[in-house]
Amino acid sequence: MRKFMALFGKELGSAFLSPLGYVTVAVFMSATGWTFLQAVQAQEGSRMQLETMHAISVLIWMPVFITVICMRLFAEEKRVGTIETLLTTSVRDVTVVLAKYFGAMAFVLIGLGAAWASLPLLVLHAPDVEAVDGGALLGAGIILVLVALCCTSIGVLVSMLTRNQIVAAISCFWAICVPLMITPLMQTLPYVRQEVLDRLSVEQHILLYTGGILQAPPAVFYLTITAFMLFAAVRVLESRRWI
Amino acid sequence: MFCEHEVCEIYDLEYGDPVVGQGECDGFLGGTLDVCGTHSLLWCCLFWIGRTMVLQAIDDTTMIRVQEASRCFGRHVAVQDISFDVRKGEIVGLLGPNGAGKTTTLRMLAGFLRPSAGRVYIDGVDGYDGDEDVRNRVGYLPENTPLYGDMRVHEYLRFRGRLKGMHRRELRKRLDAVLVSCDLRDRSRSLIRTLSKGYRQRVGIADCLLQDPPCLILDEPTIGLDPNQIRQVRTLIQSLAESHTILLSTHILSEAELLCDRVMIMNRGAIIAADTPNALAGLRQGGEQVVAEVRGPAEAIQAAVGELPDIQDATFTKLADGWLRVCFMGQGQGEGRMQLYALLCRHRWDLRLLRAEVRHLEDIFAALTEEGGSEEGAHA
Repeated sequence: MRKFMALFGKELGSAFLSPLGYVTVAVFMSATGWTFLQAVQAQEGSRMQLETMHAISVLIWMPVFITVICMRLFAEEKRVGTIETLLTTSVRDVTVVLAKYFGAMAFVLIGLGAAWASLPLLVLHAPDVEAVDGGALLGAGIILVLVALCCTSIGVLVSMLTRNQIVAAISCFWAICVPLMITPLMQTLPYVRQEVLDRLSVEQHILLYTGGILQAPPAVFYLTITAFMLFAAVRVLESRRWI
Repeated sequence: MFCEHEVCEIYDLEYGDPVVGQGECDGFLGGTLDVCGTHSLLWCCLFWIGRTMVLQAIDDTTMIRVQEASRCFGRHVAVQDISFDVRKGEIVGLLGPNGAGKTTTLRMLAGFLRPSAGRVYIDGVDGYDGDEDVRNRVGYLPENTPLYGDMRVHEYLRFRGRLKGMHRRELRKRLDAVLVSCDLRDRSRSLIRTLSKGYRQRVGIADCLLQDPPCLILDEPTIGLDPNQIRQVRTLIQSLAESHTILLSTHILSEAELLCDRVMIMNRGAIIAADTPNALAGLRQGGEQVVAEVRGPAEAIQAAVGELPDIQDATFTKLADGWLRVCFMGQGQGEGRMQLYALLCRHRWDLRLLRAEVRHLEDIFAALTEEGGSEEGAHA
């Protein structure tokens, strides 16, 4: 556990040692705030909940935010060569992957938390805005965390496959977009039932959770992808020892 | 040692792995041992304990043992079937041209790469199948000393110590010690990215020393440094040699001659020569290059020298002041020189210079590696 905490602390700390971490969170908050404003103006008079619109605004910028965080996780270590010093200590490969994942996830949660908290703060200071539903807000937070868990694990895996940060960034972005865009992608395929699309759609999951229906299948779906991606990441890291 | 059970698991005597699966028990077989399933756990434990004791008993003085290790990357064979030992307290240099397999060998020893075939032992423990703490017995400095530039020196060393599983109190004590021994006290609060290459190298070596491992593996520790920094790092390595076993790779042959008790020359993934630097210097030439300046009748001197049995490849050059320069390959331990001296005395010819040229490791290195490793060198 000591080794895990050392790596976790280093990973989280390094995000705040340079201005990159602060700038990333600030840009993410600004972008989600602007998107939310545009969505509210565009959807004026519609029946869509404020919480749902806010969650979708955060979701739109999540791939970019997570890409910026994940692209350097392993790619930078490989480029500089510190992966060699890291993996020649007595720390296990699974510890390295998990510590980096949770370090990145902690930073993602800080960004998400800041963006998520902007809605209750807005309601608190803007008397014209009708009060938001606490349960819906909590549901939105839960589903966003689940999606973030999944996307960050994809980012960890993709970052491990290359030593070039630009390649890692582009690959990360598109790989993270796949689960978020799974519904439009599958709609192009023939013979796909609407029921299947609804079960896989992130938008549907957000609608469910902000509507107060905390179903288990979406959570299982995202956690399964997360577990698979982290397992694959550990295997990729171990592959240097394969004969 | 026979078992009454019919179905047994058969274990390899050397490694304790099940090699045959299940079969009928008939006691000890050549190289395998039948162990009934109910006792397999006990036998496995006994095997591992016995194997560890045997390995330690083989040679208590060996720190690194490489047995027929190979490493392939796809179809490319980077290291092929190398075997060597490094005794405790030795400094051994690994020399070779680029792509010879030095870094791959060191990475296998450090635990970064697994050998495709063969075994690597550190202090009697298998580098891969042994316990994980075997890596704590090795301090590894990779090529170009990769460090986290946005950390401060003391932060980095503390992080590395925690990563190596050191306790807080022990870490604090060792941190102070390595900062002193690597002369980093004044720079402990500097950002690593602001340090000169020499200081970065010191930070890398300080990291290696944090747990005070008995064995240090240094991959080109002086590459890219200026002469002053090279001297400083060399002095540091020499000071560490008193209490550590050191295996280092280098391109600087004079450095290997200066630092190492023994050198191994690698080429195309194989060790083509291994011995002390002095012994290697005499390995290829089979004698010595001698230069002499004599005065007398040139034709008579040429004829007489040509008849001496231990002098070969003699060349004669007339100098401007009338003296004759004779260069030749002398056989044995100075026999050629002695025969020439006796010849000159006998004919009362003058002699003003008689010198055996010292052959450096550079010559041996060039001779061995330019041959492409086709010729078998001496293996220690």
